[in-house]
Amino acid sequence: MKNVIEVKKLNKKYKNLQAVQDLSFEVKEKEILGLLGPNGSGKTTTINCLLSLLNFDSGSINILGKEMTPDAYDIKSKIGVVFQDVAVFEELTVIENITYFCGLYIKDKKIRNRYVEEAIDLVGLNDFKDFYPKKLSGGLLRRLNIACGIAHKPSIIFLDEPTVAVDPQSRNNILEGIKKLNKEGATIIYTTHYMEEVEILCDRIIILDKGIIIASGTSKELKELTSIEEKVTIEIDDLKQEIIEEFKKLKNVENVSYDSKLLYITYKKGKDNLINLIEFMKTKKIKYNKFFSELPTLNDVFLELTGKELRD
Amino acid sequence: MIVFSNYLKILKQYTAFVVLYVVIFTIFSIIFTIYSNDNPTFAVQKPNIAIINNEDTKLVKSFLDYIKTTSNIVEMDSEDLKDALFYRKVDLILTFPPNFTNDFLNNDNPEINIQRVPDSSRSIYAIMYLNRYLNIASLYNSNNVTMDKLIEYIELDLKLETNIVFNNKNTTLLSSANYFYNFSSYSILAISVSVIGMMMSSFKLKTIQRRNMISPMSYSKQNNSLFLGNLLVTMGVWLLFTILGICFFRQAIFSANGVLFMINSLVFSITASSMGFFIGNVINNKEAISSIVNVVALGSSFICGAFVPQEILGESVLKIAKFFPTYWFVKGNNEIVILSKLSLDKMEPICINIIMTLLFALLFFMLNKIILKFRLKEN
Repeated sequence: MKNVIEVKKLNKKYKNLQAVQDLSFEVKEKEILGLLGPNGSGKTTTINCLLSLLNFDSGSINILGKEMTPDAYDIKSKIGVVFQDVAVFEELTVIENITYFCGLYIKDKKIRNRYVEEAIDLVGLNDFKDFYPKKLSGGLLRRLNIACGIAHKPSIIFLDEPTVAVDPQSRNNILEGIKKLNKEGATIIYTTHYMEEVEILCDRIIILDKGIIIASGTSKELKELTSIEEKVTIEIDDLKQEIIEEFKKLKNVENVSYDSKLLYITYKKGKDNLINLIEFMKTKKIKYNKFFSELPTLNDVFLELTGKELRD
Repeated sequence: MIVFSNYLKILKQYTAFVVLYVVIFTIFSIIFTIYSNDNPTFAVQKPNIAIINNEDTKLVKSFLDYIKTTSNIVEMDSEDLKDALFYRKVDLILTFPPNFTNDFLNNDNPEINIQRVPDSSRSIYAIMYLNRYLNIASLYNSNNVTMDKLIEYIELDLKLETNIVFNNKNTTLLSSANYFYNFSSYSILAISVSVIGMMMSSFKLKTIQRRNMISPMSYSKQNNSLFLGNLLVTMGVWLLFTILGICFFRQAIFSANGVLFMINSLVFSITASSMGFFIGNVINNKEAISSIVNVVALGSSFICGAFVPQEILGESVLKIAKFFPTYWFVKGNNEIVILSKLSLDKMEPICINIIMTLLFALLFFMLNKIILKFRLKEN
């Protein structure tokens, strides 16, 4: 598949802060690319540079084979953007807002009206068409924000943390909508600091920290970068310190901690970790209530690469 | 056109607000115009006169009857009179000399003793009233008429009144129109700045502006649509006040002076609109805009002579007022009302004031450009 976005050696500095440093990446047609990173990692700066909302110091940005500039209106007509902050008119109803933003791209009234209806349908705002934004809940407002950004059926969609402070129902609705847009042929650039979302949604992930790409690849490829095999959580009512120390001595154990009746064990790559653990607890006659095992997450990858959590 | 049609949709949301503003300001304009239209009149205040008299003749009685019509006669003990004069309870003490009637009829010029409050206008009026009676009486008495005839002639003379009709209806109307247009500056400024300011604060909201900027519609095209919307508001406000002016002062408005009033008002409306555009660009908070409207519109109207004539404002106040367009608008109106003939030299001061008002529009226009450029750079 061809590249629809090509970014080469992008640099952006705010006074003394290097927001983005030598950033290079491509986005392939019809893929969902996730830009993952903690707050202040340079995700939004990158998006703003891509959209020509920010001047950058050096590097190049090509979208759909052409250089992106503030007056590249032919490129802009094929782009849809959903910003982190909700951008709607308080004085207009849901349908009027979507019609306005769609109208900036689509001149034909008939087509525009059809697109508006489809966007409303996609985000599930059919029952709220004539509501004013003030009457909508946070989640519904986010959905409206998305509808305003994608109603004109763009071929490239930038979504900058669209699910911040959204209830689970709305979040699912938004993620389903994004998948649908992608299925319909849209290329999506999705920025977030929620690792679960990129794992569900993205074909490829770029992890950013302090304006630098620290890792990129599919979710599976990224997880392979970590030395962790699995993480085990066991609910134990009472555990003595000497037993905890014995847990640490088990094969492949990297880290053990006990807090609020929960024992956390992190295993390095290796075989039969869980079998060994259960046998050890049987031998020591340790009674436990619950037992969970999970595979490493992108947060673990980030933790291992940077020494800090994604949500720090 | 989508931006313009959106402007109209949002404007529709403010209809109730605009109507309320217009109704309030129209009522105030009308009340103020009517109130200001009253010619400077004064109510006659009757002076308080105390009289010391020991005669009971027909002439003295007639004189006292006349005094009663022009003054308040204060009854008081003669011992308290001087105190009353000191404390200004009476303005004048009139003492008839003994044998006044006989001496008067015999042309012996009896002297009436008068004690009055020094520098008191009311006591001066009282003396004028007394002199009026005595002069008429002296005039007829010199022709040797009987006392009865003398009293009859005096009373007839005092009853004579002359009706004066001022044939200056158009001047009065123009003067009223002047008051109306001066006051309208407040309404035009308040409505334009409020409505345009709020419209701009909606469109220039950072989040909305950012989204508009990534659209394929150029920034200048969007701004042109907003300008068109603002022009519509301006024309609407101006037209409203022009129609009101025509309704109230039809004869005066359809004259050369009236046309100049309308032109001056149009220029001022354009300036108010550019001011609203500027305020809306600088401030994105609608509540703050309302407060600013009160300060700018009300404050400038007070110090620029929209409510109080410029002639009675202090020099230092007028010096500050010169920094507001309202001052030049009001000054222009005041020049228009005294224009009797259309000639270049007479039109010059009017044109200067109109140009000054227009310069403010230009200033705000330039400031808007700078702010928009700054905002673009900031983004």
